[in-house]
Amino acid sequence: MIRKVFKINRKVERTLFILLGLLPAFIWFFFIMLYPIFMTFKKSLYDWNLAYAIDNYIGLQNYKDLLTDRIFITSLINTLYAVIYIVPATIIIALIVAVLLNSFSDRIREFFTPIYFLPVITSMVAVGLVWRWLYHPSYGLFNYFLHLVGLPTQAFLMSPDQSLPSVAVVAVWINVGYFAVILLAALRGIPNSYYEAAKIDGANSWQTFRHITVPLLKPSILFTSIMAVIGAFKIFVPIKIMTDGGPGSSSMVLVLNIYKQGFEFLEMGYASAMTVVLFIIVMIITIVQWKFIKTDY
Amino acid sequence: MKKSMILLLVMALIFTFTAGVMAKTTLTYWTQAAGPYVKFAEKAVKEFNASNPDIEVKLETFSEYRTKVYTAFATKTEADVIELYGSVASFAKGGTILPVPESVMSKEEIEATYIPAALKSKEYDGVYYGFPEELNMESPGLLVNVDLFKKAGLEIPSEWDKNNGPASWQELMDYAHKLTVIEDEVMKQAGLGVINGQESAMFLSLIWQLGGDFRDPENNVVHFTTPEAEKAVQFMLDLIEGPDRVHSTRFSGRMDAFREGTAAMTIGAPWYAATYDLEAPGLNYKYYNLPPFIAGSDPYFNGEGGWGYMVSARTKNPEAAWKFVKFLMEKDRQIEWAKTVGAVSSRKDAAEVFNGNDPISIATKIAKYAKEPGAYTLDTGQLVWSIVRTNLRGILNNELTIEQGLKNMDADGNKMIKRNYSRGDN
Repeated sequence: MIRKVFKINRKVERTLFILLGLLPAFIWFFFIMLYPIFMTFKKSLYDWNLAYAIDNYIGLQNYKDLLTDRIFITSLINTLYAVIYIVPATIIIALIVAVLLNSFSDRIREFFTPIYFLPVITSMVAVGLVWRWLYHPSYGLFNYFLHLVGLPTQAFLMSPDQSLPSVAVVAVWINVGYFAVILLAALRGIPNSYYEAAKIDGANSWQTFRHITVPLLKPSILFTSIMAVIGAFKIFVPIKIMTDGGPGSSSMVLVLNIYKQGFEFLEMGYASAMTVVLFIIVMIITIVQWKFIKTDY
Repeated sequence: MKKSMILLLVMALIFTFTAGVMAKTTLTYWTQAAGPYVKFAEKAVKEFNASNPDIEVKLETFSEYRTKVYTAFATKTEADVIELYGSVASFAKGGTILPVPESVMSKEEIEATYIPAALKSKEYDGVYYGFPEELNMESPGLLVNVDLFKKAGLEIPSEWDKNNGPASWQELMDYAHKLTVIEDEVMKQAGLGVINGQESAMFLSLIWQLGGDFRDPENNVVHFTTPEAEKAVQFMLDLIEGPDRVHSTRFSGRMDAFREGTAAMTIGAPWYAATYDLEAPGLNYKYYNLPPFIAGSDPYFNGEGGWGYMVSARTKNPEAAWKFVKFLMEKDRQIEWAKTVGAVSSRKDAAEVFNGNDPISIATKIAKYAKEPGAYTLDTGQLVWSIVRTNLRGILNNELTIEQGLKNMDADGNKMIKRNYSRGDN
């Protein structure tokens, strides 16, 4: 029909149809994703504060200021610590949970999988508030048990040394279910014949896990690692709810710092520069991890 | 045909003319979405619209209020009249709000009408750019849990009721020590909530009561590396460390602890009382004024113009907008506003009306000791609630030495002031 009206051939019509079909996705991608990213890069070069009627180009001044900003440096270091606390623990526990679930019968697995997934679908604000009570220095459940077994009680969220690890525990608890489900799906995809061959060759459970399960899960482990690293770099809600970056700035992380600069102090240009730094760090780490995948597969 | 055409034309002209004459001036008015504020605003708008048939004020409220107001100014879509918390300096410097016209109130009249500490945040370069509704007081109050006093076998001295609070800091500390419960080195009950709240306001109050000052408006800088600031920090550390501690960094924050019933007393403000009445109606407490921390000093405390009104420079109806603001700021209406939202009125004559035993009335009695913490920095909020607070908490949590923390306050504060003055001159 269109071909007849506009006198075009089948190939052009096909291309037009594809382009037209892609248009909504392109518009969404451009205006909701690409354009804000571009604007963040651009505004990081501006002195842009919402309270003032100004938007002056200042080159790399925001980035120079970041180099001497103690809170930014603290938040960067804390974020790296958060990644170190959260990522390995999340992946290892998720892997253990996935292997355990895979070893159960279908009925037991179907019963337990949603239970592990529950924290993922629960409101993070509610989760944060409940954990804050669990960590309460005087009346929290954890200190009650510590006291019961004669161990010294801990300050947890009120201690500069313990606040970030305490929040990291919550982040691990939230994420394990999500990654366990992904790894479980990958585990279910490994053909049984490999395990049968290993059994005939006399391999024990550890050898089977080490030489069959782990190598075949490697793409999924790397994928979950990338997702966990990105998630850990962007950790925000549990920290905002449980410590708000304190005590002092002991649990101040990059995204919370960006939020405070942008929405509390209205320093949008400066917050944009921080966002760009976060973007670059996450991009570099993702590329490095991606290289691992490409090397092996 | 010709006649009827002429008739139609004349009728159309008459209609257009009369419609123009009868057209109402429409104003938009923004306030925050908190219940009491909306309740007052709705009533005030209704009364104004009824008594001004030529003007129609449309009230709009929303959540995430502050961010949206600033974003609206950035995108030039703000309302004609805006109720906003804190300093107007950035807007005034950027030329986005109007100065108060002489016809509405002269400078002399403004200064005679309002409490000085409340006015500072509405002034820029010697000109007033809006009106404060309240004197926001931080840390001048003492809240006492009646049940925990009884549980400890103590009675609240009747003199506290007569004098609106303890006679001296020492007397207060005697009770705080008796009410502090520490078991196996773990604090189970704080005698007096001190920290993890608005302790930066207490720090500033201490500096003033010790005879010092961190403000230097003539040179547009702040000074925190002073002997008074060092003594102020040490005073606070003595309350939270050692065997005589009455609160601890390892304990709930002062507001939460008092609400939970794990702090027998807490340093607070009238808005603490309003919050407890709303969120913890069963809490059996009394509100007093704090005695001076330092013997011989007056009870100076941190006070500034909180919520207030301003008019956008882009309004098409400035006269109507100011008429509405003037209406809102009338004495009786301000009394009603203060009662509805639970605040100390910034109008001297409205504040005087509060003379009972309620927290607002008690707090109003010491309003004259309010010191404004530094409107000249162009961002008091960032100075007090971020720069001072973060570094003070760093010191109190032993992450920073006193010397380093105070140096940081100087460096960060002066950097902020310099940046604020370098922008917005276009």
